[in-house]
Amino acid sequence: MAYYTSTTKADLEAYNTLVTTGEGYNGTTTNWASIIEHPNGSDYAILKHDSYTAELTEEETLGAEWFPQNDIE
Amino acid sequence: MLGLGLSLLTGGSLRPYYAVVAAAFKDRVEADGGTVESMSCLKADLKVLNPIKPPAYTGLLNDYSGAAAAYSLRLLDNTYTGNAIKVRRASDNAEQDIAFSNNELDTATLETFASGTDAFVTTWYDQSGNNYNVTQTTASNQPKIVSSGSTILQDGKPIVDTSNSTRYMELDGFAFSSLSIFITATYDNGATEGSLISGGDDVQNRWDYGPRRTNDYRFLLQVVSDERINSTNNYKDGVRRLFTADYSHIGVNGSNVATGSLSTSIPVYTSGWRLSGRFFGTGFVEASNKFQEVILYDSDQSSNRTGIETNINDFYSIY
Repeated sequence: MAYYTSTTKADLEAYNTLVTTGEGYNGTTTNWASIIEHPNGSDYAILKHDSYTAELTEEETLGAEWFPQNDIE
Repeated sequence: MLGLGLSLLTGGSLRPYYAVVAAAFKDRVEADGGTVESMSCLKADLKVLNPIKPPAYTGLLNDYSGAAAAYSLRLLDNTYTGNAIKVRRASDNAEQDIAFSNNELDTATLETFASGTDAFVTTWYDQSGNNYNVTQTTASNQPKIVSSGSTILQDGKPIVDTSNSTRYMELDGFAFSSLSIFITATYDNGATEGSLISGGDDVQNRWDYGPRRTNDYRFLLQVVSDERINSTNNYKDGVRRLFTADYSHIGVNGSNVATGSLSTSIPVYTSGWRLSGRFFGTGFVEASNKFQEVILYDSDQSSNRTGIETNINDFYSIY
């Protein structure tokens, strides 16, 4: 699963709209993907759809730093 | 019925057909050691020859009613007339409800609809009657149930698969003063934590339940301080299991693995309920689970726990 990343959340929201519109979801499904916020609060990512490209930075995977660590000890 | 007017020639004399049948029946009964009190009673006696109807299907919720929410790929209540799930197929994003056939998910209709492609669960319908359907409106987060035209199975029965992905389902949640949980699932031992079900909106306002990545199995309620029940038992392997929990114990496959009590009253966080994974601050901790059944009671089911577990295990043959 590849991802697009950006420091501008709106760019990723636009990509989500691009895919959502292109795929023509209807019924229960309303959008392509959720935007992932990096714990640093300034970076964002969205899952890339195989059929839609954008002028965004592509990452093959998101590093562990993107995901919260276990908080239960 | 055929032949009140029909006669047969037997032994050189004409006898009504019913008399021939009745006599033959009388002979068979007596040959087996039984008796026919009188030929006039034969009509009543013959009723036993009518096909015996199979007993009506009885679902888990018929025997153990009062669930607040219930999701399954089998029929749980013989009065439930709704669908099991709604799915989206990958080929054209069309959606369709899938019902039950012979009290189990209608996989034939499901696979016909999927038409050789993947299909994803958009709605898992609540069979409790309370309409707490779990949904996923985001395509890339929807659990998979058909892969390349074939229903995904675990030990021969279909699953709602969130494995190795950001797939999960959401529930509005409901208030409760006690909560009993029965989940049939496989925790896929991936690189993620294993919350099967969770609620609340951030690290300070949530509860969750499931195996852990490292060395604990847990059922946790976390408010300001740590009020929790957990266990050092490790159930993170990929074997399908029946998980049960209420606020006083955690059970796996019919055996208790932890007991405890809460130091304060039970918090009621009705927001952000999820099947698979949990919130963590602003982020989301993925989980890798394969669900077959999730039943929630907003009451203490300790007295019914063994019976419910037996019902589930009789169907799924887990342990």
